[in-house]
Amino acid sequence: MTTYWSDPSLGRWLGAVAQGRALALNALGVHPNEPWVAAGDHAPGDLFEFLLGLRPTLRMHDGVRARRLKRVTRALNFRLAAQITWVDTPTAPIAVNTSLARAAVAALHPAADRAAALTEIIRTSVARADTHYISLLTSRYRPMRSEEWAALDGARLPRVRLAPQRPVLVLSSAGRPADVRKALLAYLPVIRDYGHQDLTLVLADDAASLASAVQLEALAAEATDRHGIEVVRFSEWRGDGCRGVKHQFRDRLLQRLDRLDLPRHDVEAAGRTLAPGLPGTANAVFARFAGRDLLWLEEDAIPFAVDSGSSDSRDMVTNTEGERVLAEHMVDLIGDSGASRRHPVDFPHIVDRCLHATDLEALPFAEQTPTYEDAGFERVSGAEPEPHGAAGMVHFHTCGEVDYRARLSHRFVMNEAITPEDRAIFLKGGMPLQKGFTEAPPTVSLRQWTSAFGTVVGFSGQALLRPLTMWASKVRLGDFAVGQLARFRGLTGCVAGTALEHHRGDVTDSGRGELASYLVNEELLWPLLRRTGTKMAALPQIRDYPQWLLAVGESLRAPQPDFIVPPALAHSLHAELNEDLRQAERSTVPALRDYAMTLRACLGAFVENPWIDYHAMLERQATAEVVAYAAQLRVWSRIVSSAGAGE
Amino acid sequence: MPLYSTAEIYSSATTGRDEMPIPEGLLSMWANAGQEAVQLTARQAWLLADPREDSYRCLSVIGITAEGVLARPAFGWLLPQRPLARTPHPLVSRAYTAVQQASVMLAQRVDIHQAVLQLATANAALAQWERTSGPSDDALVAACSGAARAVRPEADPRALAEIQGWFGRHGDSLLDRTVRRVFQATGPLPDTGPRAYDDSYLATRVGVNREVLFRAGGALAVQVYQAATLAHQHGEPAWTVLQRRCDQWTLSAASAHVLRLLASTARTAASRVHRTLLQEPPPLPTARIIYGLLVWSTLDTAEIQRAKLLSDGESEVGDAVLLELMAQIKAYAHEFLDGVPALHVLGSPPSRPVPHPATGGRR
Repeated sequence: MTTYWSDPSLGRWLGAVAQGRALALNALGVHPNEPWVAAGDHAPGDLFEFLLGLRPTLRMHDGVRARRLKRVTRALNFRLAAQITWVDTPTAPIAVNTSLARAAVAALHPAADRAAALTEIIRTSVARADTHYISLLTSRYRPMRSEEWAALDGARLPRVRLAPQRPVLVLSSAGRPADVRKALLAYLPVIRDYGHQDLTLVLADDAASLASAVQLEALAAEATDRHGIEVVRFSEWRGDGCRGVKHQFRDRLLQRLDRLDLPRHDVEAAGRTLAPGLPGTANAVFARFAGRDLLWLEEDAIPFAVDSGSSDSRDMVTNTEGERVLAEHMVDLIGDSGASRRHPVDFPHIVDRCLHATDLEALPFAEQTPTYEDAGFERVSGAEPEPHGAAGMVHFHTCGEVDYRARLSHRFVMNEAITPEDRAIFLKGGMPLQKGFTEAPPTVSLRQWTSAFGTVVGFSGQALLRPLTMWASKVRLGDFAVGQLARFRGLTGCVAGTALEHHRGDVTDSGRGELASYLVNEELLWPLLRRTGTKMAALPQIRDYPQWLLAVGESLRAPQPDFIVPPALAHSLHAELNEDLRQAERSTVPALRDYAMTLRACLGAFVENPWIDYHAMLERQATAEVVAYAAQLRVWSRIVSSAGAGE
Repeated sequence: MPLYSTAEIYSSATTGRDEMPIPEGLLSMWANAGQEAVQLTARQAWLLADPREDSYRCLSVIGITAEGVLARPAFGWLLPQRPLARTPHPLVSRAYTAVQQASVMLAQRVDIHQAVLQLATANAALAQWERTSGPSDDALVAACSGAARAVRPEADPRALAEIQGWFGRHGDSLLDRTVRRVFQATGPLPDTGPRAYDDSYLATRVGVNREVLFRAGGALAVQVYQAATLAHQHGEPAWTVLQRRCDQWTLSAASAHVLRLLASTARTAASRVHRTLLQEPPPLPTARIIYGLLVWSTLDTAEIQRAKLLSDGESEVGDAVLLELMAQIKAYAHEFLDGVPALHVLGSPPSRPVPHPATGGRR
């Protein structure tokens, strides 16, 4: 009999999955000795083999046990992106470990038919595959091993990982101690409870004052003590007033570049690329940890998935335009009904699986279809028959106070019908809306996607061997630009089948409490990305990464016949702004009139002048940004090829 | 019966005209003429043919008979609805003359700019008359209406715009009222049943139903829609100006895109507008864009928001999508119409109540 799990990579993956599941089940209190587990029509062994992801399917004859099991599988889906689905058949519902079932079917087929079988399985998903497969799969499974039983019993064993090296966790922060404390308190317990004590969290902070530096050092030491997870600072300044590690790293890198006799413009670009601030910090981190798997943790996220509590199970829906839509899984609001709950998410484990077993975990799709804010992954289209291969980046869906951009807040602030309390929250950059998921979404891999970091982003060390760079710009497009580089370097994107919770802070980069600032910076985002994207797409294939960066830089610097900001876009923005101002200034709501006043003050003459002037201003800014980016890419090409990243 | 051209009449009656007084009652005779051919005496015919008396050239001669000349009103709309007073007030006379001269020029496609100036003269005269002696003469207004209607798309766009009152919209000019009354004079509004009101222009997007839209300005929207339909079907100058303006407008593609999204009930319509704007949206017929802009400009978005919030109780992201689309199309309409209300542009004041479209008037 073929044992598909004898394939080494499949076997390792099964081991990692089983350990992750065992730890989660232990945390959920699901134990083999429980009465409801023992009293069913299966031996507890069968049930746990299924729950640990070793057995592809399990038929449940007992309705009561099926209901209990559904609750457990639901929790596993949210905590681990386990992707367990239920198929109703005439005799009894069948629970399916979809990833394993897909892999098993592929493995069980003779090599010649494998591609076709896989195609069929991927296209239809196992949930709909015919019963032949299901019965075939049910009869073959890997038995549980003793260490998996031990993990179920709560034994703390070292985590099994698919990555060749331990990943590096990076918490990027402006360095306000209160925010850092909050973030550490959110992330560390979850990481610890899932048994990842061997990981190191790098606190990449920009704290500029001695007092903050001292506090952050104390915080790092305290966190290391309390949670057993090493927290180290990658900082600008140390508590003793000396230059911090990040600062030193930057200085060394710049010194090396200095020896290359770069033109002055490029030296300036290098300084800007690595300067304190979000992009500079990201660039320093990318350069410093090249070759390692990175888990980029956003300060305003917490590793919990909001389950909105609905129990009706729905698959991805295909709409009339052939897109597969996740929207059915999602509700925008979590009322106070109490039905919603939060699941701690084992995100290091999920990222590990998604990066290093992408083809086993993910359904391949051609692209993400942009939605209102272009930053969610709710719609994908173009199911593809062949798996994509290892992913370069892993994203999570975002729930909680979703990281929508300032335009949405502007719209709500402008809405006379909302309550004054809500308006006050929006005006502060907050978000009184909550998003939860009615069902954990499937894991998908994508060739084309728009990257907004949002919560936690995983980068593959393989992809970062030649590190990516973040556009050092005041326009809030850094995270998008990183994803764009990755995409045009042919890396696959993966969206894990669960969500992480996001909170809009008043002071973080996502909710900066200066709503009106979106007016210029926000609106340049898409034109700029479009320009760089068009240029990258037009380039011939260049395998060598530094050469490619140079070529992109060159093509961005070349004089262009067309505008970066389409005139129609500037014209429409101008018209809308004017109309918004007119409306807000006439409003009966005092807060709205104040908002209009601020808005007008921010915009100055640009709304009063003809839209052509507004367009000219946007175009000037955009051109400056593109020229600066071209210089950055040139410099980055030097850093990647000669200055020795990764030490 | 042989037909003679006006030129032949000119050449056959060229003597002694200076001695001939203008026949009294000619104007009142017009009143009864309608579209029928009328019998004129030789003297009247002579007057008719006087090249200096352009104001009378609005009859075209179709034949010469023993009694004189057989003529037909060339521009029936120039005829007053009722006989004028025998001795009209000089101001009215001046206005009349100016309008008639303008009409002839417009109808014959000559010297359009001069025609516009003539209309402006009429406007001034009539405004003065109204200030001193009460409401203006309906016949004259009808004549103005006709003049405005005589303008065809191939005419000078600037003149068109001026006639429309497009540029002359400051204050309540006769030209404005003229254009407005064109639509009132066209006869009763068509049946306002469900078929007469195509609410596809007012999209039934996710979350906003027709009831809500109707409450948010439905009656006005219907009226605007009907006025637009009339203008469109009859090729009214108001419409042709809008059409030309829309064709040359930077935002017509953007408007088309927003309208398409608003009209879509698909969830995919949530696409962020500006992003998609960057990828050339497929074109929409100009007329549809104009309808959309006119109709959406009448809606009270705050009312929609309120209704939406009342029905759902909570705001959500979908609301913002809709709000943004509505705000956009309203902003574009504001610019497209130069801030002038849609009905004003189309020439009808909001007057008659319009039945509910969903119930076909049987409320």
